[in-house]
Amino acid sequence: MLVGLGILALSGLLVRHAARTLGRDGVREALRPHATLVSARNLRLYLILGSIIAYVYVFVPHVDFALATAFFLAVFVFAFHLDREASVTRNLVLMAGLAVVVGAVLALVEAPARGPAVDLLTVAGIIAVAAVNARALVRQGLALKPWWTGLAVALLTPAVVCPVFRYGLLVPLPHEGLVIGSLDALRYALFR
Amino acid sequence: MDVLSQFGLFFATLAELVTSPVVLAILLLSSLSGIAFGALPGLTATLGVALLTTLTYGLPLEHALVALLAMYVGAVYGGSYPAILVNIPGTAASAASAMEGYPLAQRGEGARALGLTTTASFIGTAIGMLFLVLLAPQIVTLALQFTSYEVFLLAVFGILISGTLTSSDLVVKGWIAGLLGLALSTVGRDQLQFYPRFTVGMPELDSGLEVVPVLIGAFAIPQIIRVLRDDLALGQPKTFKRILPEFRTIVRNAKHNVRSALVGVGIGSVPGIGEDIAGWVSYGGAKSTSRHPETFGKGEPAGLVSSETANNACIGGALIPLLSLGIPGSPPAVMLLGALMIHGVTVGPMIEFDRPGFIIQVTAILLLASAAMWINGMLLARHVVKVLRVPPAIFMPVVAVLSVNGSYALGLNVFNLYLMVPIGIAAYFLTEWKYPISPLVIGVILGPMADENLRRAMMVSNGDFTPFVTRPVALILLIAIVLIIASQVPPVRRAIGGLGRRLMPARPSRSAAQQTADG
Repeated sequence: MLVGLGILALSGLLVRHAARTLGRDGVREALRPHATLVSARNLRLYLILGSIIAYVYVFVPHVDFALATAFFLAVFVFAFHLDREASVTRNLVLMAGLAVVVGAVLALVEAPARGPAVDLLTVAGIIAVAAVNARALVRQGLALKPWWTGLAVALLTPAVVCPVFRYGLLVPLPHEGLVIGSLDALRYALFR
Repeated sequence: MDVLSQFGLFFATLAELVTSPVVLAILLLSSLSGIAFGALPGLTATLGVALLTTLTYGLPLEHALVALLAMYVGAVYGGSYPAILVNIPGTAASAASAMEGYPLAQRGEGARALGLTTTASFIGTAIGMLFLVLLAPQIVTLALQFTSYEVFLLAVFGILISGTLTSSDLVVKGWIAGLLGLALSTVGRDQLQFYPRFTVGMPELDSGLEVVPVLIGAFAIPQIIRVLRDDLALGQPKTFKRILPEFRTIVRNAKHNVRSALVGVGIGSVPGIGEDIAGWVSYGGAKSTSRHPETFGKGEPAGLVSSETANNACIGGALIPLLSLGIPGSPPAVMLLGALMIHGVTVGPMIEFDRPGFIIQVTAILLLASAAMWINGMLLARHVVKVLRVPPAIFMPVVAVLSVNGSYALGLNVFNLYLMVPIGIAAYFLTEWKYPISPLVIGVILGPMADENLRRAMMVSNGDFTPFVTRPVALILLIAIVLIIASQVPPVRRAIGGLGRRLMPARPSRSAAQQTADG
């Protein structure tokens, strides 16, 4: 109650300060929706927020962690490391698309088949992201070096992070599916 | 413990650490990682300590402390690399260093600037460590007299002062951020009567919000969003030759070193405000007390030495309230507190009873961390600088992945991630609207302490508030709180400003003084 009252009182002070500084017209102007909601900078914000939300709420709990991370990194790095403006929109659409499809599969497919289904979908998503971005670069006549860098980061990071956490720090990963399950099988086969 | 036995324990601890190959390896690697972390704009010392917390929680406490403190010291120092070479501070702590470091680099003295920075940072950390070992035990002795009344007021004071000093806009915003942090800390079952508060029927919230995922969300996610959204691009770093320690210049600027170290320790010991403010205050002090202030901004070594000594001395200063009172003195110290909680260490007045010699151990580790930073800086700076070529678009998404995995790893609970993201997004928008985040996290950390002690105090006094004014320390804290609030009331603020101008008139610049003499 004390904390709530304090926040209300201080917020009232802020509103009073704003009204005194800006005047009624200024406050009205500040509250009006602005056309800049769809600017390039805000588009990057939507991609970042959308990607993080999709990664944490859709992919990490239900998709193999290595694949989810690879897809997330591919989208992010290709979006911001390539040709910038067009790549942001392109990768935003790809991220949103796969998130919707994975969400639909999770809702509609029954338990045992669900895991492999979303893992395979994510693999397809990684390939699609890589292919679409490569095609866009080739069409524009741009060098593929940033693409190769992005792909390397997207594949190598989970290749390092997952074994370090899983077998080094002995921390189970949020969801272990196709890739981590295969790593486990390989480990047992080699070091049984 | 008397002074001689303290010294004995200090050197014994130092010897034990130095003779362990594992400790040395962790020390050097963590220090190097910290320097690289600090060197990359967008990555902060707080984030480095946060990520390392998740990686080291399985290690023994001593090794984890070595890693975390080495990362902390290295990251604060590492921010000076891009500040000097590219004019973009790697961390906020090095913003003042860019003012003098970059002009030095532009005229081909980049190696000299880095040498000055490295040695000044080492001296700053060492002096901060000295104050830590001298003052922390005294504060612990004083704090043992504290009862619930004083502890509650101390927590409120910490949140208020943090909100007042870290707010770049209206101070009210800093206070609102602190109260929001307090509000977040009330989520869960209360500690005295186990009554659920704001759990919205979710059993995962019964134990409240996990501190480290909240901290990672509040510090990491806004940084990631900001760096990628603003499309930060670094220029080509200036090249430099071999780095030398520059002892002669340091000795010539000894008075700046000492003053800056005192400023750094003082500012570090105030809850919530950190190395960036220490750097600027010290730089401003060096400029205003200089006989030639017009040379500042053009590559003046005194300015660089001042800011770097202060921001590293701040580390020792921040550890003083952390270890003695359980109140972190800076944002990275907030993360350290989280790390210590994970390792089962309860810092505060009882630390020397629960873990005798802990403060001495931390001091010894801090000295080693500063030595490792100096060695890495002198020998490996030319290689560390190569990380500046890595585009933010590459390393920021990797940091995001490490933050997510790290938050999950601490409790093996996906719910921590579900909490981390909305808190991170809210923290981003708060910073966009110029609300400081430090008071919010200080509120989350100190909230349980404030809540529990207020309610215990009310139970003990049967609802009577008079002990808050009759107990001497409580009264002093209450007066300090009232003064902080009153100082923001416009008539009082004008009166204080007028008094300050009367007591400390502005010094005329040399050129102006000369004009007057010539005129």
